[in-house]
Amino acid sequence: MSDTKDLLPLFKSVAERVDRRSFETVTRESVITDLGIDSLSMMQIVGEMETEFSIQIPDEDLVEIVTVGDLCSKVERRVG
Amino acid sequence: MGSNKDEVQVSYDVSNEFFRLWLDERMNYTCAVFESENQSLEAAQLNKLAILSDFAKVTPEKRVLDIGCGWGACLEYLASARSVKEAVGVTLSSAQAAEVNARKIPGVRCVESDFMKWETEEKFDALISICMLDHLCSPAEARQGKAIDIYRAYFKKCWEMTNPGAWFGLQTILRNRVPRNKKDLEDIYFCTHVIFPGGLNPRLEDILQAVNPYWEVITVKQRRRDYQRTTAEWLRRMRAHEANIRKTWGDQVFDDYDRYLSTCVRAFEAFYSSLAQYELRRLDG
Repeated sequence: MSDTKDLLPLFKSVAERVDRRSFETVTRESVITDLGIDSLSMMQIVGEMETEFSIQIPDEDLVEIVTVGDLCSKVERRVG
Repeated sequence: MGSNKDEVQVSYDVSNEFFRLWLDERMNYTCAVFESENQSLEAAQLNKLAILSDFAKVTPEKRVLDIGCGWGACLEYLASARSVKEAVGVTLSSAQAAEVNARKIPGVRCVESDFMKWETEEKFDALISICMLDHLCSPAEARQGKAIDIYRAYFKKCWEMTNPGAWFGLQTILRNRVPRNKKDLEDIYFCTHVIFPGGLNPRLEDILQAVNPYWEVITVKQRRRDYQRTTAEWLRRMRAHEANIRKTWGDQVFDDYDRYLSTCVRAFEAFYSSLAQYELRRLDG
């Protein structure tokens, strides 16, 4: 299980695995759609982060996610 | 709006003969309800119609409306098994309307119309609607937060078309959880855009919210495993006719429907999708 203090490195490694390209310059403020991550990749990234922490984020919460930080916060809130 | 006439014809007008090969003899294209391990699809489809007719409190003297009547299986059941003297169906599909009216079932007629735009002075005592609501809201409209309003407009229209004391047997597919893996995501995207363009399955909480202030929810039955079994049986039957389908309608039709039905079986297994039946009582104020 990963360290929950800073999920940005985890996001980067998962996104790189899913989309097979570098996300080295991404910050928590980065807008996910601006990164060229489509909805299909986004759901896979969410799924991998859920698996990492054995959590489930309700689908209705996902529509509120705009930035990388939004997604990280959703996960952080559930792992405490 | 959700599915328009062109989109509905994509979904249902491949050919009546094509669907006849793998649906049951009455052409029910919705979830059956199985009472036992060994029950046939044909018997389970009749069981489904019996449950919804009971929910709608159907009697021979009541005027019954079937919203989204498909190829008329429910209308025929109402006339034959329940001795209903007047049953009306409404469908957007030209092929389905023609098929139903050509059968000249006593007391039954089918109207080709968009239900939400259908203007009539007729009032009904009982409503049945089987998996038509799934066509009302598009994915784009759901993203814009319009789903509840669209479903509520449907329940309002249903209320306006009924007499006080009416009951409603409703069946809807449900979407639950979006897959998190690439293959399942791509397969469901394919079904939503190629086989059933324009429509999006509702969430259970959408329905429960939207029925107010027109209908009271008396009973909700979830039937996820029944729909898994129904779609698995459709897939088995369709594959048994593979050579004929490829020869008559082409490889693309067979391959698309094989992928679609396989995805359905998977979606109900993984609880990406489900199905519910509702017993609704008209709120008469």
